Amino acid sequence: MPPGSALGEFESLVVLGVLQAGEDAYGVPVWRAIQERTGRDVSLAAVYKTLDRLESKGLVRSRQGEPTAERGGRAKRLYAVTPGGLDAVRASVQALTQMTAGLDEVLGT
Amino acid sequence: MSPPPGLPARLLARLLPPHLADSVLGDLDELFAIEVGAGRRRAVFAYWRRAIDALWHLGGRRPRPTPFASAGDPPMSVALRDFRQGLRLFVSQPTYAWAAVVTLALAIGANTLIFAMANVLVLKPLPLADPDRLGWILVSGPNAPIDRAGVSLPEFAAYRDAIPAFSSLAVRRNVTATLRDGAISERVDRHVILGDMHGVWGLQAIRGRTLQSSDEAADAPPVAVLTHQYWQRRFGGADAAIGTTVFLDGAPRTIVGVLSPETELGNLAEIEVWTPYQGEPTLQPRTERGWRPTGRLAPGATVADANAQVAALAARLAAEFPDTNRDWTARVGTTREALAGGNTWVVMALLATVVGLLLVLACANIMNLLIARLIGRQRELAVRTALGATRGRVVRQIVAESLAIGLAGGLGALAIAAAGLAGVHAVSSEPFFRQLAIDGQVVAFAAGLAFVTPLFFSIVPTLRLLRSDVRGALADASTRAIGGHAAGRGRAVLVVVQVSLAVVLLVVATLAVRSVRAIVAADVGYQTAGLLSAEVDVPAWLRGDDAAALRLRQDLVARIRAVPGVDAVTTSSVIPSLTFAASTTFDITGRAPSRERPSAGVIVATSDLFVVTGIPILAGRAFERADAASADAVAVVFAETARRYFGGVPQAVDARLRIDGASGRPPLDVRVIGVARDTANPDLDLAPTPQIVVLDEHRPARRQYLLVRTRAAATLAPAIREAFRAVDPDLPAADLGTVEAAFAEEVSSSALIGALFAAFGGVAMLLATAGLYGVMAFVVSQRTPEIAVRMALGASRRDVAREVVGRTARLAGLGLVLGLAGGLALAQSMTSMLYGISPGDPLTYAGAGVLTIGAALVAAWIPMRRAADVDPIESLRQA
Repeated sequence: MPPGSALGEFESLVVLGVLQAGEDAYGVPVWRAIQERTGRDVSLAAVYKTLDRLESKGLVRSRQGEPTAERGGRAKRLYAVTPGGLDAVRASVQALTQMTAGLDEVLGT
Repeated sequence: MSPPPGLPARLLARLLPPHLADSVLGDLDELFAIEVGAGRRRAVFAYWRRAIDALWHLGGRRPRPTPFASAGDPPMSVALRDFRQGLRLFVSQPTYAWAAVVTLALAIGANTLIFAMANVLVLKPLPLADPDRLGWILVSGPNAPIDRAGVSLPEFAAYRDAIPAFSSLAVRRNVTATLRDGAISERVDRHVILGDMHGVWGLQAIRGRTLQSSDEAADAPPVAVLTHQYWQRRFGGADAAIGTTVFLDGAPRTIVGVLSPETELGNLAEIEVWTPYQGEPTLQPRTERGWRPTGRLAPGATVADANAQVAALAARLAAEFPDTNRDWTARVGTTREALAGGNTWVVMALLATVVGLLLVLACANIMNLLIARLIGRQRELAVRTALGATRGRVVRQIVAESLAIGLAGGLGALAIAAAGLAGVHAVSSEPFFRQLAIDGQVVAFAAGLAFVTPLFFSIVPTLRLLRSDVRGALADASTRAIGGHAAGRGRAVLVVVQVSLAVVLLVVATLAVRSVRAIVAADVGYQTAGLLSAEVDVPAWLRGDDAAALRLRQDLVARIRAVPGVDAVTTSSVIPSLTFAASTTFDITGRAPSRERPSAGVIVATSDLFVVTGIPILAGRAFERADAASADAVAVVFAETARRYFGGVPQAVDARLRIDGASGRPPLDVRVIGVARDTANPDLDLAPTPQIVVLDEHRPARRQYLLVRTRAAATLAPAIREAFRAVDPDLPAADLGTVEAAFAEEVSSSALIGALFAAFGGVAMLLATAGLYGVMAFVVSQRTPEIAVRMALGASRRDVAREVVGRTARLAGLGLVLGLAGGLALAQSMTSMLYGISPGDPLTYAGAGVLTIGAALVAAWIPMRRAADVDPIESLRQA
């Protein structure tokens, strides 16, 4: 991955969301993970748009799941983080952690 | 379980990229299934919101090329797919699509509005039978607007007998009358006709019959025919109206028919009642020229034949009756000329030209946007072609997208035209403008333009695409098959066209607007603010002799003077600068009578005329109350009279005049006591003409206006109406209002035309600037890598800017020269409609030039700066 193309904040959230959702990482669980953990009102479409972009960058990959009845017989698209994606999100998180070290008092965390 | 809403699901299924559609739809269904437990309405709302959101974020994005229709598909489904593809443009490239739609809507909207006018003026079938075989005698004379004067009844008798080119000739005169039906008495507009006018025009009755020549016999029973609108308004469209007797000006008349509604066209729309003239025309005064003649051409005769005969007869009458007919000329005009003045056609042609150019400008803009887009999509198109799409398919898709833009633009245009018409109706109450409407023909016109213009603006880019080397484009993305030299030339042409059209439109718009401003702001020579006017018409049936009529007016003036808030009040036979004074010949006492007898418009008023109007006295004095009581009649002349007949303003004072009597009355000897400053000619294009003011007591006039000077114009109306009623219940305060409003009404069509030109000029400027910006932004974006290289190699921002902006400036300069030349040519055709400004007015051309060049430079400068701000390294990497 070329230097300088660090993940954007929302991209990081989406990659982390995919990791949180584990095996069953399709739109709804990823969206719900971000929604519940950050308390932000995030749109499902924005999550998909970001996933699509991350996939074209090679940071996540997707495959077609089996169609299920409760979804009107529609298939899920299941996402997984690629090693490159893992590196990128790790770099982002590390950068954030390192930048916040020693600032507990200021940030009130 | 409650199913999710179907419509958004179907939309999504079609518009989302295929690899995501299933997954997104499945997610929406899943969330819906959970949320529907808390209430279906909320769940449906949430579903819609997410669906719209998904369309917004994901719709139309096609990272994987969609399959093309194969030759085996039924043509209809191919066409439908094309069109759907076209609509998808609004999601995939909203900026381009909406910019094009707004541009097109403005231009087609302007054209639609003007078409609505032309439709009423030119294309609507006239209610007249065989209008091409009608000839209209148009009369011009001293103190009368050109072509807009009529003939007197003795003149009509002469024309009727001596013009072989007419098989029949009739006259009509517009007069107001008081119609009483039971207890209700009201003012109506009446056409009095002689010579079987209904027959000559070929009018039809929808109830009863039209008027016939037999109704004109002196001993025929008095009858009247109603117009359709008056029949509806006053009689509720009841058949029982036929055969009833009403009182017109106090005399009973039987209603014998109702004219068909198509007759209500142009100025005829205001007429309410038609009656026959039952007198002997040759015995009427030659000075009363209110009659408008129309003739039906004899078989084989042409308008030119009639014109020659009428002009010759007018010359003969001028020689035979020099007192009344000298300098009076007549010609025969066609129906078109007669129904709308010569200027109307100039204005219509000019408006049509302006909106036509506006449409060309809009197409040039969209064409440029389209070319830019196609170059951006060249690689995609190349891929598609390589994958087996025929070029025809690709071209069809572009045309389909353009048609979608045209359709949306057409809808927007109708909305804009409707808004424009609402504005027109708000500004002017002229019958012509009131007839404007968006009818089937107007909608068809807008639809036609919406269909044709997309073909027009998409054809050039498409042809270029067909010629371009697709394999080359695929092999090397940086090859600009349609962005090369030819396209550079194309864009240069676009810049020149845009600049020159903008200059032409600005010149025309500025001239029209400044001319209208001059008309609206024209100084008429006295204080019109704070002045009220109303008609005071005392017809013979109301007061038999002149003395009684005079007493009635004096009574009225006295009552109104007593109303609190009234500063001064007079009656006057004209509202200065708004209505014409009847031209009358006179002799100057002590001067040998010459063949050329002097003539002037004679104004009849009370001694307070100059107090009420505030028209200043330049020499001598104004009237005093004692002048009215004195048996020695006095007059105040206007400066033009003094200059023309006495050699100067002071010389006229104390001169003695003998003014010819009107309608068989004896002449009046007056002494000139003062000279007043001229007021503007009611026809603003003409210089002031000689006028003389005499007193009502000495030379009474039946038709006058009440003029009231007040500081409480808004609140006086009820008191004035009450005074009219108190004087005589049969005397309505007709057309009561402020003089300023009367002037505004008079210029409302001019103001409206000016506003239209201003609006079109503004739109033209907007489109030209946006278009130039589009061209420049595109050129600069194409050249960004080159600019970056140059700057990396040490070129300063200034050098680069000078090079790019300099090229635009040269093109804009060429456009400016062409535009100024075009504007000058078009302005020449405007000469007759311009007032107070010459078609070559240098300030107008300088302004238009500076504005357009300024806009062009700004349009070039903004993208240029953006390019220069780009980091050269970053830019090179992207390239």
